[in-house]
Amino acid sequence: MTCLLSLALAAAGAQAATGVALVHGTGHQTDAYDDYWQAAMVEGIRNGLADRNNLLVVNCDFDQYMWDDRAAGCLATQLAGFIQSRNIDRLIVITHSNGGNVMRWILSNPTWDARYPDIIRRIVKVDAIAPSSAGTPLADAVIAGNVFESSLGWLLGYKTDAVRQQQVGWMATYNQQYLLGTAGRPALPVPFRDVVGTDVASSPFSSQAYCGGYADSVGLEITQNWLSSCSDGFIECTSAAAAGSVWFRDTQRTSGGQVLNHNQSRRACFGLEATLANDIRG
Amino acid sequence: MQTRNKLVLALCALGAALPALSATRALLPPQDGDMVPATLLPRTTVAPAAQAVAQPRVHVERQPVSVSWPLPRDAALQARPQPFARSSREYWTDVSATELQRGVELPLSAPGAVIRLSPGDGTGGRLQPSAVRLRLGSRTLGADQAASQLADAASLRAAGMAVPDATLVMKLRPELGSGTATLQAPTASGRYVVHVFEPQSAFSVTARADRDDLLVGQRLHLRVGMQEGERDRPLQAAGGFLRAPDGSTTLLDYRRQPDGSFAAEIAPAAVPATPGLWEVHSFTVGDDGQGHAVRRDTTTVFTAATPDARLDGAAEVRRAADRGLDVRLGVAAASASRYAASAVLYGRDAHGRMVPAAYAQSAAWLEPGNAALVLHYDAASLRGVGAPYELRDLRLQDQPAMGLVERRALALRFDAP
Repeated sequence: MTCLLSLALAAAGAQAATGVALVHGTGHQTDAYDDYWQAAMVEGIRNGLADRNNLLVVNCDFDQYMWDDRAAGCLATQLAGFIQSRNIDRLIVITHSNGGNVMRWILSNPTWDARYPDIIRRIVKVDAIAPSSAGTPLADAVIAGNVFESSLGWLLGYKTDAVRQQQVGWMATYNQQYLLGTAGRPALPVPFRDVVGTDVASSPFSSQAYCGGYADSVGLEITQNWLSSCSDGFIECTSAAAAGSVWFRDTQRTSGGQVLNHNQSRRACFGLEATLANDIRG
Repeated sequence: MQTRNKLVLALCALGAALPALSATRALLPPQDGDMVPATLLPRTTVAPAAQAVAQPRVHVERQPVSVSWPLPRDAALQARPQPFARSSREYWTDVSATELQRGVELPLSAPGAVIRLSPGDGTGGRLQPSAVRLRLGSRTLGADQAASQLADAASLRAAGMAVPDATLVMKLRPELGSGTATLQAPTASGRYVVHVFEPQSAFSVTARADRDDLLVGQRLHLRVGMQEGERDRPLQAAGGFLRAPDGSTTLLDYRRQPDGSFAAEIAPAAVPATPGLWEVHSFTVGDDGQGHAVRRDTTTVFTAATPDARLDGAAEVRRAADRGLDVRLGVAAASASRYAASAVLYGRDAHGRMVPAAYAQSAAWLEPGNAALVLHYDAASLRGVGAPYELRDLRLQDQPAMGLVERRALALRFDAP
C-alpha cells in the first residue's frame, strides 16, 4: 500500500477559498439558522465573506456526548461536505457553548476518524463563543444522580448526555484524558480563540437586557447562586477561557462596552456579528 | 498574519519501508504514577440487552491515521493527568408523596438556602408555590412567602438550567435564618427530588481521589472530608455508590479515618461495553458544632479501562523520509480494536533547556497479537531543538472503548537515531 504524505497547503498557484461554519451548542438542531443563531447574526457574519455562498450553518444532534457519532460524526460529515462542495481551503469555525467542546473533540482526537485530519488542516482558526470548556455548575445541579435510584428514567427526562457531559467534574476529566488545549495539556493544532461573556444584564429597565430576547431575570437570579460573579449566566468566565486562548472579553469589543449573556452571544447583539465579520476578512 | 496550519498527515500502512537509519531501544522503566497493565484481558464488547442507559454510538475507524503538529516551546505541560476535586455545598434526596405530605426535614446550615423541588410526574405532581409550606424555627410559611426568589421550570430553562418539568425553585429569605426546615406539600403526588444548595454556608465537603484513571485490577483511593471555611471538621457518617457508564451501581464501603474524614476504595471488577465515565456518589452527614446536622453530597469522576493492550517495551527510532523522526512502538493486544498512541516529543533548545517540540498521535486497527504503532514527528516541528530527545506523556488508548490502557510520564530518552 502506498504511503501518502500530505503537507500544509501550498500557497503558490492555489486560489484560497475562505469559508465559515457556524456550530451551535447543546440541542438537537434541524434549523439552527432560524432557531439558534437567527438571520441577523448569520447574515451579519456572512458580510465578512468574499463569496457569500461559503457559509455553512451546521445542524446536528448535540444532545449526545461530544464524541458520539451523532455529534462529532455529524459535525465532521457536514464540515467535510462543505469543504468539498465549496472547495474551501481556509475554514473559520465559529462555535457557541457546547459546540466548542464538539469541535475540540475533533481537534484533540485527529486519528479518531480518517476524515478529521483533512478537515483540521483546512481550519485556520476556531472562534469559540462562550465555550463550556470546563463545564458549568448548572449541569451538576440538575444531574441528580446522587439519589440512589439513579436509573430512574423520569429523572433523565429533560437531561441529556450533553448536559451530563457538561458537569464540571466530567469536563475536568475529559480535559485530562481525551481533550487538548487546557492548562498543562498539549496545545490544539489550530488557534482556538475564546469570546468570554462576563455578566448578565437582566433589569427590565435596561435596553441592554432585551437584545437577543429578554433573558428571564427570575431564572437568572436563581441560577446566579451557582455561578461565580464573572459569568454569562450559564458558564463562568473561567470555563469560557479554559481552552485555547482568550480572544476578547465581551466589554472589550462590543459596541458601548456591553456585556453578552449566554443567549446574547449567539445573536447579533452589540456589534458581535460585525466583529466576527471583520475577523473573517482578516 | 494568517497562521498556516502545519498539521502533517500521513496515511500509511504499518511497516512501510522507510530510510533505515534506526536504532531499537527499550522504553524506560515505568515510574511512580504511571499506569501500565500487569496482565492483558480481552474487552467486553457486547452490551446487555437491558441496561439503565441508552447505548451511545461510537465511530470505529479502520483506516490507519497518523498526525503531528508543533507545540509552543514555552508550554508548561503536565505529563500525568491531574485528579479533579470540587467542594460541595449541596445535597439531594428523593422522597415519596407520602413523605412530602407529612413533611421532609431539611437541615440548613446557613441562611439563604436554595431549595429545588422536582416532581417525577410533571403533570400530576405539579405543585403551586402556595401549596408548598416551609416550617423553620417558629414560623410556617407558604413557599411564596418564605422565598425571596421563586422560579419555575420555564424560567430556569430560559436561564440555561435544564431542570425537569414542573420544577419549583425557591431561595429562602435570609432573615428566616438556618436550622432544620420542614418542607411539606399536602397535595403532593408521586415522587419528588428535593435539592438543597447552600451558597452562603461555611460548610463544604470535598471528595478527593488519588487518581482519575485506572485499569481493571487497580484501585482508586477516595478521601471524603468536611471543611468549615479553611478548617477540617469531622464527619459523622458517609456512604455512597459507584455508577458505571452503563448505569449499573455498586454500593461502596466508607471507613472512618482518624482525622474524622472517611475513605473508600474503588476497584471496578469489570468495564461494561458501554463507553463513558464512571462516577462515585458520596453522601455525608456532619454537624456544625452546635448540634445541627449538615448534609452534603459530592460526585467524583474517573475513567476505567480493560487492559486489553499494552506497549511491549520495544521502541525503534528512525530518521523519517521527510527528515523528521519516526518512533515505532511495539504493541501487544488481547482484543481486536482500534488503538491510538500519542506522545509529546521534547528536545534540547539553543539554551540547553528541554522543551516540548511536537505532539504526535497515531492510530490503527490491530488484531490480537503483536503489532506496532508509529509516531511521526515532522522535520518542521523539530527545528530549533536537538538531541537528546525525550518522549513524554506517552499514552495508549483503545479508541472505541474510550479506554486509556497505558500511560507513561517519561517513556523514552534518545540521541539522534
